[in-house]
Amino acid sequence: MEKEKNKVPKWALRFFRWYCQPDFVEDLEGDLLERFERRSQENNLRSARWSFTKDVVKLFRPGIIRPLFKSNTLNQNTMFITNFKLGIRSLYKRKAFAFINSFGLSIGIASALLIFLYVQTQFSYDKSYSDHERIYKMVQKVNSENGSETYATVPYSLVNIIIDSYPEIETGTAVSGPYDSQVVTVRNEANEDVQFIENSVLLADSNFFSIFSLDFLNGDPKTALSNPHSVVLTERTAKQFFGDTNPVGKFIAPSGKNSIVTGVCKNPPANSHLQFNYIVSSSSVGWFSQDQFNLRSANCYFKLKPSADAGSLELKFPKLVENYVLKEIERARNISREEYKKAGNSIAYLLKPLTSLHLSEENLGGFQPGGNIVTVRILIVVGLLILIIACINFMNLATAKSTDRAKEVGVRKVMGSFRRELIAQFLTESFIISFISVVLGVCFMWLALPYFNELTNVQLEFFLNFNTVVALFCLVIVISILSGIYPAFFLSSFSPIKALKGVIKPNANGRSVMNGLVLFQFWIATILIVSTVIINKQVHYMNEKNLGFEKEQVMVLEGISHMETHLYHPFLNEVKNLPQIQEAAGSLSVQGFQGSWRDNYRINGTQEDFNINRMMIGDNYSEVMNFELKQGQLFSESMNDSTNVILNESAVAAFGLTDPIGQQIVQRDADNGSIHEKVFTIKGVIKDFNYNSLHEAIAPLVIQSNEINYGRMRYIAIKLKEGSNLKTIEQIESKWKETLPNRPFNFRFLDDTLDAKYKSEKQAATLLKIFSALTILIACLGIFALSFYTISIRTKEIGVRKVLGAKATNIILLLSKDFVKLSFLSFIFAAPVAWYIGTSWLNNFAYRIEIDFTIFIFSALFIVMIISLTVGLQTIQAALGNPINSLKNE
Amino acid sequence: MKNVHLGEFEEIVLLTVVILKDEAYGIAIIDEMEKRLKRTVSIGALQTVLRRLEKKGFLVSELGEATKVRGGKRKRFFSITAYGKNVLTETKEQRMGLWNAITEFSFSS
Repeated sequence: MEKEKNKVPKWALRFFRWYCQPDFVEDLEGDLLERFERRSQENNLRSARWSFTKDVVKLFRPGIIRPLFKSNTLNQNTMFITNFKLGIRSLYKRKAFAFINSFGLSIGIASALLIFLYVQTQFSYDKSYSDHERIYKMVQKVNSENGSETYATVPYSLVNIIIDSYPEIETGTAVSGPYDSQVVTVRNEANEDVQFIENSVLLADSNFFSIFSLDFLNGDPKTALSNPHSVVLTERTAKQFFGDTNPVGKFIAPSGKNSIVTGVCKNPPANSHLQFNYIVSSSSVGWFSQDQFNLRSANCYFKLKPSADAGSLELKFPKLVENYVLKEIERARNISREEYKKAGNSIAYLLKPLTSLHLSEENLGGFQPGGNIVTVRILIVVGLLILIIACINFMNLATAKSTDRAKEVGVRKVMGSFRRELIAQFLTESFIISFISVVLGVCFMWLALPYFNELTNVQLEFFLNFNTVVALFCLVIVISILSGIYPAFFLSSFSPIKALKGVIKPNANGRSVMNGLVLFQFWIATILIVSTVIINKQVHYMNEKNLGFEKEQVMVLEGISHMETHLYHPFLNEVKNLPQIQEAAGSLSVQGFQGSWRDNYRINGTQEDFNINRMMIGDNYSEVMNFELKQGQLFSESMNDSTNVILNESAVAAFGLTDPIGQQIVQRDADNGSIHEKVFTIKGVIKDFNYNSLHEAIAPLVIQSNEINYGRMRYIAIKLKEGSNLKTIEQIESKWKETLPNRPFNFRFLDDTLDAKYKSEKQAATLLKIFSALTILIACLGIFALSFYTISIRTKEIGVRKVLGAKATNIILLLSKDFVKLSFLSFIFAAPVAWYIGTSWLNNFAYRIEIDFTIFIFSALFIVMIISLTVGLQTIQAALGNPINSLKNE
Repeated sequence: MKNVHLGEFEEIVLLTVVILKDEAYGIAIIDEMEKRLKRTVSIGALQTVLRRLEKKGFLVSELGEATKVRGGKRKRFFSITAYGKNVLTETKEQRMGLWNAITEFSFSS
């Protein structure tokens, strides 16, 4: 028999055993085998096997197949409806509990959704350009003995060489800019010339729009930038310049160069790292066509062919460095490439995916302050934590309520409920709560969105479409399981006898879980509080730090065409005579604005070159900024300072000078292979001031006078006296209009401009402040309900204690002991973590606050205060209550 | 019992189970039906009907002793319940009522 059984088609038998209802397997398999045996005797084996298979397939019918779910015999709908009904009733019975739960959860959900939207936007940068996955930006990595640095810009001449030499490249473009404070003249309909001052102006070649696929409203994207003196406007700028008329073919003169508008493109999307107001064809400027392999002057983008691999293309770039870049360096620095490499220097070109630019660490986008991946990561964690804390509230409250529900569970069990059904019942309850909370949370988020956008300076939008609804429903399920699973198992585990006898108390196990969860909540809240305090202090420090110059009350006029400086000098003299003006100066550089160069300097007579930053300022500029003179003199109006320089202290140290005044330094300028040398005398030394952002340490600086450039200026810096007001500005403007009619009057305040440099830190600080406040609110809601509940079950105890002579203070101590203990414990666990996070965040700054224990003491006090406030009111009420009230009814 | 309705195949299966008395298990029922009615019946068709009739309460079943044949699997023996008998009788009476209502004349035409 065994032999014959083995001849049965194995897979058919296995299939049968798999699908058949377990109760039927044995006798049905017997029937099948009996038939098979008979057939294999009557006919041949093959046909018997075939018939067996046929029988198995024919048995695959609804009556025989095992049910999908085990409890198939139960009517699921009724169960769901009953569970749902019971859930609603039980929530209605415990209204306060349900309210606190869903309110806390919905706040948590709203915050998590906001964070999710914010994070999603951060990750969506540059994804709206077509073929974005094939577009790369070439960046330059420079290694030197001081470490390595990656720059967003590269020499523009490399672009055409790369397009020509590598077949993997489909197209590429070089973009230079952004240029700010550009004066542009526009001829309007009445044939009058009107001047505007524009920021974010780019120079780009004709391939620009084949990389960045912006739609054109007018003109042809392929040819718009082909010819010299072509200008493409964005929709926004076109509207500003020309109103509603079609600007294509109209006259425009950016920076005094007569040009024609050749196209109008859509505004770059908000989530694009590249922002501009108009683009001038790069063939309009002469220098763009000269060979240049040394200066990093352009942002270069390439679109690769679909089959090409960026990594293998990158490997071909070292050859490029050898052939072009090093040659240029040899010439400019007058050293051989072997010497250059020996000193630990090297240059590498890398391709970074377009979509990675916005969140790259070194802000390789380069056009505007980038996103901060650390902030994004912190926010993701914070969002998850808020959700978890809200879920913990639910778990804790449900567990705390266990005594209430013990009887119910007991009765249900006696009536024949299985544990599984009880769990389903409790999960239904948590499902109802999470559903309500998600709906409320979406409403809250929707209401908060405009304020959130305003606070963080972003444009988030929320759409309710099919996908979001599905996602939200998944969220409901996840939250209801997360928050409901522990209480469900805990509550359903009660033994019915004990429950009905009323001896169930939140047992030691349940208590310690609850305490653990509260501890965890406060651990997180403490970390958030401490981090918020640290970030706030740092932002405050950056705002208030003495930068080494006066940034308050300094107005900077922009949009001055430096070629027509003679027009501005009369204005400058007029302004100085105004009563509310302390001092005014023209300048080519203003820290925080533009105007900083890097040059090679050496001390006259030595051979060692120093690459040092250079600013060019006018007379009195130092007085406007209130630079502190250490030695020698400042530039003065009474003498020509064109061959004098002022150094900062760092530069003096870098040169290694002991007695700098009167010494000579040489500026060495490589241009087209020959080296120009200019000799300067050191006239003065000023104290270091922060001319860059506080992220960086103060580097050596050489300050030249603009008198070497015939007193040219691009900015006029005006120091106002205390007590000056809008009227002062109006006076300045009227002087401007008198001396310089037809020129637009534009100004910014220095402190505002400098503050804008810390935008991302401020944003992070604001976000953290909001979300840690919300976290604390949710956690407090939790302990509020918890303490309310503990007090309510201890009313009798309190009454008895009072009757026996306990004072109110004893009772307060008794009731708040646990929470205070918990908060201290959570603080001890949180402090090291917060310290670690704070330290690593502060490492981004060259100038930073010290994390001292006052921050921790402050935070600890804050937490204890919040907890006492939350718990305190109820505790005091309970402690002061008349014991008669709590004891009279039994 | 008013709403009880037996399908044709159900009725045949019930009758066969009654005929076979103590020996009514899957293959035997099929054999009996093939022998008497000359129609082939698949295990699948029969078994679903058997389970359905059991669910409706016309049949009960129990497992027999283990046998040496058929891979040592036990047989499931079906037997009719009192309820099943009533339904069968009623069905028969309905049919008879119908037959009796037919006149000789109308049948031959």
